[in-house]
Amino acid sequence: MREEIMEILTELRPDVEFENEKKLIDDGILDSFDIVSLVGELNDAFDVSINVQDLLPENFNCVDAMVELIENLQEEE
Amino acid sequence: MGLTSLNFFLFLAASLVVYFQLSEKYQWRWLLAVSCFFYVYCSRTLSVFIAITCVATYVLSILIEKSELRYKDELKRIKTGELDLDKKAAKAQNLRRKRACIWAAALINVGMLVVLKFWDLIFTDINTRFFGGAENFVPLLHIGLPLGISFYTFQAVGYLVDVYRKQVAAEHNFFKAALFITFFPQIVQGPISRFGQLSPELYSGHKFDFKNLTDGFYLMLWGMFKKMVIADRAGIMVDYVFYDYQNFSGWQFWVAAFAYAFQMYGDFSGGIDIVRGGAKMFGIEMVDNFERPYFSKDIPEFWRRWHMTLGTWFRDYLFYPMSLSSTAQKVSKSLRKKGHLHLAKMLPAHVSCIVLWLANGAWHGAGTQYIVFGLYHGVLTVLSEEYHGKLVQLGDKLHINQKCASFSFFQMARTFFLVAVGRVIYITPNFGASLTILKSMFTAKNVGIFFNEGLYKLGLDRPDFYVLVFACLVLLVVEIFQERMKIREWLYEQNLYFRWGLAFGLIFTVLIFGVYGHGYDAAGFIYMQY
Repeated sequence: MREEIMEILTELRPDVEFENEKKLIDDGILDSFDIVSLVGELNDAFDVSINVQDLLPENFNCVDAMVELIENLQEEE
Repeated sequence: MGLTSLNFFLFLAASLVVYFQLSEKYQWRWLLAVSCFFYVYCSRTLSVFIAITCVATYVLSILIEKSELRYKDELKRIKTGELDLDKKAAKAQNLRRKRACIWAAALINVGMLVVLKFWDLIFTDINTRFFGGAENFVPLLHIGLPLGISFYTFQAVGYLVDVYRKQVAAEHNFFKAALFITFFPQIVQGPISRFGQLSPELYSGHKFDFKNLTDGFYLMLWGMFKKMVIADRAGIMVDYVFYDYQNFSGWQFWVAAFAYAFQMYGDFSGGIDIVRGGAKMFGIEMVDNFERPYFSKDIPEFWRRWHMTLGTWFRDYLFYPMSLSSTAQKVSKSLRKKGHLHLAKMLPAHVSCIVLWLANGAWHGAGTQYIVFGLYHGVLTVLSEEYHGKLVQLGDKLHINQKCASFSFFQMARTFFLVAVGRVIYITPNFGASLTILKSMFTAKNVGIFFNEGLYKLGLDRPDFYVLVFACLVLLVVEIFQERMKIREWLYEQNLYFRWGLAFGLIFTVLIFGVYGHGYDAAGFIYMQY
C-alpha cells in the first residue's frame, strides 16, 4: 500500500521528496487542489471513501499518516 | 464605536480593569456581558439578529450532538440484538437528522445574512429598472445591516459544521456558545475564528500579564498606524479619483488603484491588528488573518495570505465538500473511464474553485461587478493551478533563472498588479464604470502626471502624498523584517529606552500623521459592514 501511495503522490507532485516530508499540509507543500486530486486517486486505488471530515492535517502530513488513514477506513468498511 | 475611536479604547480599558479583578471562574461571564453591551451599543435594535443566530446555533449544535449519541446507542443495541435495525440504515438516519440541522442553520443564519444584505440592493435595482421607481413593486426592508453579520454568521455556521463532523463537541452552556459568537473585539471585522481554537482561550481564565498588555499595545499601535496613517490617507485619493472618475484618466487611475491596494491592506489588516491586540491584552490569542500578502508570488498564494480565515472557511466548508461530493466523484470516475485522466483529476477542483469565487464575490456585495470580481479571481486561480508547472518548464527551457531575487520580485510585482486591477472591477458603483476605467488604464498616455505635479492633484497635496509614500515604505521595510523574524519578540530583547522610544515615536506618528480631517469617520472600516 505504501508504495502505491508513493506512486500516486510522485505522479501528482514530482517536485516533492515525499519520503522525507513530515509536514506536507502544515508547511503548505500540498495545496487544496492537490488534496482534491489525491483524495480522488486514493479513493479509486484503495476502494475507500475519504470524507471531508477526514481532511485533517494529521491525516495528510506524511505518507505514513495516509497509510494509517486508509487502513482505518478499510477496517471501518 | 469604531476600533480607532476614543470610546473604544476607554471601553477596552474599563473591560480589562474589571476582567483582572474577577476570579478566573467569572472572567468569561464578564467578557460576555461587555460583548453584549458593545453589540447593543453599536447595533441597537438590530441586535435581535445576532440573538437569533446565538439561539439557533446553540439549539442546532445540541440537536446534532443528540443525534450522534442516539446513533451510538442504536449501534450498541443492534450489537446486543435489542434493536432490529440494519447498521447502514441507522447510519443513514443519523446523517439525515444531522444534515437537517445543517440545512436549518443555513436557512436561519445564512438566510438572515442574505436577506439583510441583498434584499434592498437587488430589489431597488429591479424596481428601478422594470417598474420606474426604487419602491414601486417589491417593498424594501430598510432594516440596515447588523454589525459584523457576515463574520459572526460564518463563524456560527463553521462551528455547527465542526460539530457535525465531530471535530469539536457541542457547547452545552448557552452563554458560553453566545460568547464565542459575540466576543466584542472580533465582532467588528473578524477574524473568523474556529471554535476549537478560540473557545479554550475565551473560557479559561487569564492572570494579568504585563507582557500580554505591552504585546497587545504594540500590535494595536501598529494597526492604528496602518489604518490611520496609510489607509485613511490613501482613501482620500481613492475616493477623490474613483467617485469622480469622469474627471480622470490613464495613469491617474493606476496611481489611485495602487493607493487602493494599500488602503485595503492598511484598513483591513490594521483593523485585525487592533482586534488581536485588544484580545491579547486579556491574554486571549486570536488567529492572524494576514501574512504579508503583497509578497505573494502568484494569485493562489495571495489568497492563502490575505483574509486567511475567510479563505480557509471557504476551503473547508464549501470547496472540499463540493469537490469531494459524490456527484463530483461520479463525474470524475466517468471521465477517467473515458480516458480523460487529466480532466478527471482537475475538473472537480476547478468547478468548485469557480463556485467558491462566485460566493466570495457575492460576499463582497450585490451587483454585476462583484460577480465579475469573483470570476476574475476564480479564473486566475484555476489558470495558475493548471499552468504553473508548465510555466516553470518554459522558464527552464528559456534558461531563465527562476530562483534569483529579481525573478521573485517580478513574480510579486505581477501578483500585485493583477490584484490591483481586480480591485478596480468592484470599486466603482457599477460594472460599466469599471470597464471605462480599465479601458482608460490600459490605454494610458498621460505619463506627464509624474513630471508636472499631476500626482498632487489626486486628492492629496504634496506633503500628504509624501507622507503616504513614506508610510508605505515603512510598512514595506517592517514587513521585509517580519518575513525573516518576529519583530515583537526582537523588541523584547532590546533595552527599555529603545522600546519605549519606538512606541512613543509610533504614538506621535499616529497622532500627527493620522487622518482626522474633514470627512474622517472613526467608525469607517471598509470591512465593518461586510
